[in-house]
Amino acid sequence: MRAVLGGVLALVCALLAGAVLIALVPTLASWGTGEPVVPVSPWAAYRATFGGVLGTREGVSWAVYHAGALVLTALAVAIPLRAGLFNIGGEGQLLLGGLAGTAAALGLAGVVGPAPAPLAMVVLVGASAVAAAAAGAAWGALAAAFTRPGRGANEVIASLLLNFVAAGACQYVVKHHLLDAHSGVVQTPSIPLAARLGRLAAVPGLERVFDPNTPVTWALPAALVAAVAVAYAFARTRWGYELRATGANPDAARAAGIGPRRVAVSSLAIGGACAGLASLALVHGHYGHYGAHVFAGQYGFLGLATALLGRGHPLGVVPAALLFGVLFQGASEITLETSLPASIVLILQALAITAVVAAGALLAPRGRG
Amino acid sequence: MSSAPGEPPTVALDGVVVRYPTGTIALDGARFTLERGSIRGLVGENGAGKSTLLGALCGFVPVVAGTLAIGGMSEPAFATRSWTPRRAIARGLGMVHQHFSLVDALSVCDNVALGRAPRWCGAFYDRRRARDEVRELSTRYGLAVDPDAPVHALSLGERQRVEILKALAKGATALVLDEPTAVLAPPEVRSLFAVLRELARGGCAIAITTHKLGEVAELCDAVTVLRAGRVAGELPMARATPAEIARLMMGKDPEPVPPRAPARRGQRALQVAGLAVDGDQGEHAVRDCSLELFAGEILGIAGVLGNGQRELVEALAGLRPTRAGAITLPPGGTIAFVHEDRARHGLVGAMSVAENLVLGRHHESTFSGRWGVLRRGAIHREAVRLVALHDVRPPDPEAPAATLSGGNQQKLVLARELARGTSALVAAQPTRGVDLGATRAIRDELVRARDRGVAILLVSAELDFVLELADRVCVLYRGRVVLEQTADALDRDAIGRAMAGVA
Repeated sequence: MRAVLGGVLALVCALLAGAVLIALVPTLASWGTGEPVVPVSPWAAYRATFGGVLGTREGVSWAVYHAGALVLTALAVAIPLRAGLFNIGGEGQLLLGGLAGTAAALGLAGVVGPAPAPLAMVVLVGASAVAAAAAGAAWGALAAAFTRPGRGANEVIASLLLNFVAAGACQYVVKHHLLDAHSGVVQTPSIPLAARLGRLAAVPGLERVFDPNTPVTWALPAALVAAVAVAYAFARTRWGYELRATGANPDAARAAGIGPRRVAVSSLAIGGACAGLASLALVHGHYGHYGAHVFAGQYGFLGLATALLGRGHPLGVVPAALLFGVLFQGASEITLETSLPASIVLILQALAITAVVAAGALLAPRGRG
Repeated sequence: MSSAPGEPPTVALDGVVVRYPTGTIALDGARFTLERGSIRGLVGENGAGKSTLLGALCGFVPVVAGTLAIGGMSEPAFATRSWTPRRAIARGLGMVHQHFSLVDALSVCDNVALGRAPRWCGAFYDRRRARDEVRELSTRYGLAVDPDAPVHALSLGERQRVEILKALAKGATALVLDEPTAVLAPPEVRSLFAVLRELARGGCAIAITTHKLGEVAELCDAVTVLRAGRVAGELPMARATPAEIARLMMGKDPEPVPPRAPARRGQRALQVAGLAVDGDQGEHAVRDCSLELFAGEILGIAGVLGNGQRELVEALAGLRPTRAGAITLPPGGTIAFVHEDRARHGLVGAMSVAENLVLGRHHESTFSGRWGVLRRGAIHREAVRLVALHDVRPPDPEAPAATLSGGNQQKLVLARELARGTSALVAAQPTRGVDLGATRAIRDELVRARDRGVAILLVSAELDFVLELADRVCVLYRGRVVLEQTADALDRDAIGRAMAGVA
């Protein structure tokens, strides 16, 4: 309760600090250029960001679309974090998962081909999900394999560097083996329609909530179910118990016969699977192909920020992802409505994270003496 | 050289009230004085408020009410927010904490100079002068330590000397030490006491807290006894006997130790043959160590700390690789451990008492159902049962284990390890940092387990505790068993000589 209240207060502080910054930006931008200062009121900027997003069905839909992917990439961080491991490799896990998921959809398209639509959908989406999760999990487990608990080698460095390996490998595979030559850009051919995720707006009644022209798909409820499942697993399963014990006191966990290696591999693999699944929301939910859009999205890295904002709690990442979804979408609104640069939203995101992390440190119970 | 009559005490604390954020009253009107040239012991059970009182004096613990006079001058900042460690140091109060605050990578003189480094041309660190200051202080008080040695290469006793040097270099005229002997081997304790006596002779006022009443009798000129946040007695050492101090601490006469039935020795439960184990620095910590442990007996391992006890236990637990030799359990035999550092190996402080009580037992089908889902009801019921059976306080299965006192944490660990129902139990330093009441409870638990037929290997640096409990005693010296005796033919002197390495 206290933590939630502290988080909300911290966000208010971040918005106030952001307001000061917005008021200063026009002056700073015109400084030395001789151009006249065009003042921007922070209120108008916030109204553009939040009002523009939250005030329309379209804006809400886009924000929620981003949030769905972010919940999964944030879980990729939050799960190993509970075991005391910092997974910086969400981006690479997402990229590889996306490639595997796309390849599965493309490869099976010919096999399933003439089958009746519902069965084709189940097979294609199911196979894509399994492939994406497996690829992400493998990449996560690989980061764990480089890590030797208690011997100095570090999962942060391993998972970070594996991002670059994954990005390079994925670019290579797309360019040389899966290229759609007609598009003129580095991307795969479109996956079959049967592999696309269904849109929530197609559900009777929900079309009033979500814009049918936006990619709010079944990936969103799936991500929420994943967050709840992880929270349940942490609290109620042997796996979660061993994870928490290892994260809180690795020596005691080892003395009690809990294998640190198994905990590291399983937490990073399951986290990696979540990141891999996040790619489905992008490729199968939105773009329909795999390529430059996915590489540029940076959802894997944003998942780090989301997990920090959510204090590493599997349910905390849901509101954090929603906030980031709004800010993500707000970045495009703010440039349309005001003369501010889109990067101001990045600064707001950074302020929000800093404030929440600082509030966590300030609210933590102090030790005696 | 005690203070001259009529001279005001160096430190006079009165009416100190400390309340923790949880609402618990830690100190309730406590009084404490320190005099120039004298050493005062501060004793009490765990949770009586000893560390809190010293922390309050030195600005580490916020104080609700109370007065402080230093050298007869009232200190108006005390019991306000502005009474900080920095101000306490400026008033000549130096504290040596139980857990040291040193920078491992820096040298001794750099650590001492930290925060108050002598300058060269006003801007540069003058290491030569810092080194000379350390040399000067260490020769004056017999605090032998190399100013250029990096702190990570020092023993615990040497690190403690560096902490004392730090306080002296800041100009401390009153020095308070919280449990300074808890981490020291007996020879180090002796040299610490020599240093403290030398400091007192030089005019320093000194206070120490300890659990060992023998140390109070050996070192102190006077003693203050705390019980539940109040002063239960203040007496000069000449009038204080350990029995009297113990009575004041517990608020009642200690119960006489009930006589124990002789051991009914059963089958072999553990065999260690020719074991060799390396220490952290690759030294041969355990060499050619052989032991046999039988059901229904307590085998005590006596020895000065650092003679391979920790490495032996860690090797038995599989936490440390062995270089040679064999550890054999009979078919079907099982073994449980109470590790010497319970905060590190025994407990997950952030998890609840209930979750800690099943740590390592969580695989059992009672606690873990199909699909790996934990049976929370069963875990809670087991916790309620064990907490009541072993008198763990507070009896709240959902309290985080870190909030329990040291004695109750140890009872929790012992409760869990005994509940495994193993045929052998290794208890390493089970009474370290534990008060008299909990020590008694732990002793009774061990004896009851022995009478149920459990084979117990008791490793303790407290010789009295070992001799009181063990049916058989082995002395470990430099990683070898150098002497073995049975309880009915104990030769205390021989054991002492063996511990000191004198054949």
